[in-house]
Amino acid sequence: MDTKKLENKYLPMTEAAYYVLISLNKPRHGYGIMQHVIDITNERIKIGAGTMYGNLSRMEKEGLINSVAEEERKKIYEISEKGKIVLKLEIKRLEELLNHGKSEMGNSK
Amino acid sequence: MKEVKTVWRMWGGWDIEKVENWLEEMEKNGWSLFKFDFTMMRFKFKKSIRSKVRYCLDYQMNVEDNYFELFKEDGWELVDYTISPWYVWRKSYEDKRPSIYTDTKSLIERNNRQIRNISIGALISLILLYIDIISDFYENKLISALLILSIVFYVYLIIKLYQYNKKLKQNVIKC
Repeated sequence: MDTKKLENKYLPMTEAAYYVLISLNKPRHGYGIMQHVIDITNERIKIGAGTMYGNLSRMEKEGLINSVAEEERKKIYEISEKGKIVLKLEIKRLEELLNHGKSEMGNSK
Repeated sequence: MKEVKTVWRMWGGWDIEKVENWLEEMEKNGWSLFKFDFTMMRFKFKKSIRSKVRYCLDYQMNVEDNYFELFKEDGWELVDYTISPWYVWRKSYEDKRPSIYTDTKSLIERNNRQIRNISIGALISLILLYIDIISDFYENKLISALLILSIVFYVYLIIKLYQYNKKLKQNVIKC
């Protein structure tokens, strides 16, 4: 799939979607992702169970993540190759925003 | 002695928040929800200790096992569920009020699941009405009238849900 199509379809991501994808660089289950995001954002972002379930089901259907195992009725997911490509595009977009912000506003505090 | 109270309440998918707040208020006054039937309009409460509990309503079709597991792990308790796609979750809290949906996108997606199902219902009624008109199949005019009425009702529900989504979308744009 070409870059333009992926960008139109998936970008910009919601904060929840972004954090789900980066957390799945390691295999994790839904609740594990929620805990991890709380940890790395110092509790700024708490993804609700409904929002988490919605993101996981949608991303699995879209092929952005794969379910790699099932333990005690919990599904364990990992980011897919397609997911990695989309995530890289989003990081590039965010970097551009950040760099523009810094270069334009660099002198003022 | 166990005290039980039954309350009938009409509501639609666009005023979920009001229902959630009402259930929370009941709990605060010592009435805890323990049952609702498939009409989703009859709420049964039992007397309990006054407590601070957040209620959240979810609308889901064909959920997998991990749906229940995820909510339970996050401390949510399923009140009761019937064959309807509505799930009532609750969780006690102290300071920060928890929610099952933490962004607007997932709220809109929940509403869209309702819109999809209602549209299917409307389409089925429309097909039945069409069969009725071309073949005079039912003969009874009451059935045609009921079908027309149900289509009007479905369209009303869809418009209300679209308006709710529009409001949600406007709120998300802060600047």
